[in-house]
Amino acid sequence: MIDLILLSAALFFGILAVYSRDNVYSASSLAAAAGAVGAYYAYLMQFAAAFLLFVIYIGAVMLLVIMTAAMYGGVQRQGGKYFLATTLVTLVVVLLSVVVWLGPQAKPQAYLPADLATVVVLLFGVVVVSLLTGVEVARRV
Amino acid sequence: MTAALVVGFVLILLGVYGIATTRHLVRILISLELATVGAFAMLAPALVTSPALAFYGVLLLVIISVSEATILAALIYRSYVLTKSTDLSALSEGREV
Repeated sequence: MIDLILLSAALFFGILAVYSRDNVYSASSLAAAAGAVGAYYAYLMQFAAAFLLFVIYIGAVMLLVIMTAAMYGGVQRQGGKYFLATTLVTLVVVLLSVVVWLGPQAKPQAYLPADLATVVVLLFGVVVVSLLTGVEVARRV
Repeated sequence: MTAALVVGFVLILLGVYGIATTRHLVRILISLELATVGAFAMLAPALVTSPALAFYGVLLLVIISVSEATILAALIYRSYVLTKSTDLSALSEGREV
């Protein structure tokens, strides 16, 4: 359950990163999405990878992105709505996680390894979409 | 596990969509990093099945993202110095007409 909450938070902040008008808010949402994915890694007990994600990725790359966004194009538009939405979502995620964590733990499910064919199909989809996007953008410029 | 794959895939698609629909270099940087976050999410199931191999994948992805962010940030600074804008449309040199 906690994994779904964390992944939903990552998805929400990812959508916010694309659709937020202000570059600073967009970059902050991106950092929050990366933080949710890092928390998901920690939930899976992969602490080395979570450490890499939190310290190197969020500590260095996200800092660079937020600073660049602040220097070029942070116009502080719709600040109240943004802060209200992000604060509410963060609080809900934290509360739900605490409730699930403290509640009766379900019996651990038997782990089913991810189907390699599914991953290959998904990655192939990403390649096709990237290729189409690249061709369309190149035609437009 | 499947949820991580789906969320990662959607984040990558959102990043690609963001790159396709903007001409602003900062937004391109943000969208590119969003696609990287999606790749991180898609790598999570592999961390459980083969932790050592997937850890090297995460490490490689971090190194790649640091490199791409640095190069794009340098490009943004240079573009702003030259054109006083971070809009791709302002860069006309070196373009086939």
